[in-house]
Amino acid sequence: MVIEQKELQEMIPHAFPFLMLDRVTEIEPGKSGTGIKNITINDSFSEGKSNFLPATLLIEACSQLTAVVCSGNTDTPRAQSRPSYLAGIPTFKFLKPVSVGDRLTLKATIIKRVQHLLYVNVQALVESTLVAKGSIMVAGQQ
Amino acid sequence: MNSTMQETIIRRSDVMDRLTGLLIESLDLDLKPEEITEDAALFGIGLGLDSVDALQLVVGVEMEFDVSLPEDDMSVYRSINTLTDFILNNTVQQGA
Repeated sequence: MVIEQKELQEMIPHAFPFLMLDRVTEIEPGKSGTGIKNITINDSFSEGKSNFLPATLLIEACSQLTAVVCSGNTDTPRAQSRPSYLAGIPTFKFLKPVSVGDRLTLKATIIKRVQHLLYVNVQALVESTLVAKGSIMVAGQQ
Repeated sequence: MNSTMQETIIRRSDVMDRLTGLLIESLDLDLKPEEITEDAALFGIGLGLDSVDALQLVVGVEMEFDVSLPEDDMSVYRSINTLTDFILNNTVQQGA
């Protein structure tokens, strides 16, 4: 199932210029998902002199994909669903810089749920090269 | 004391030591292993862990002991003792 950006805006509360997902290409609601973010010169971070995606925004992109995976499906209007919040970042490694012109592929897999808290493994790739990986914790919907 | 009981005691002690080490290392606690008692409450007035710590501990324990901890039965997470009980009851003894 592919979810386009217009639908994504209905699923999570983030909006331009802070929406860090262009499209979700695969999703297994409540379990895993894959998304795409094209890094362009029009992204807010590149208004300065840097052409590199800040590491914090890379984590944010992974978190937004996780929020989509947690939100289940597009039939649930945002207003009726409870948002998810980033609760912790146990580990995260940034292996290569991501710059303007790159197409970022993001992967999120929920590996453990304890009550409303989720532990999620995430990866970011440019083409087939792993550029970042780690785990995040999300306080999801109860 | 027969050999089976001795093995059980040794195994329980081993699990507790590994659990205590995991607790200190994964949650970066400013405690020494001997300062964590077997019955100390993991949450609240005991070690004072929060729910985020709990999730991190759960994932660490699952990886360390190759066991799946329950998602809803919070009684398992009461203390080192209760966690040890669950691990011992739900893992196969190596070499058994």
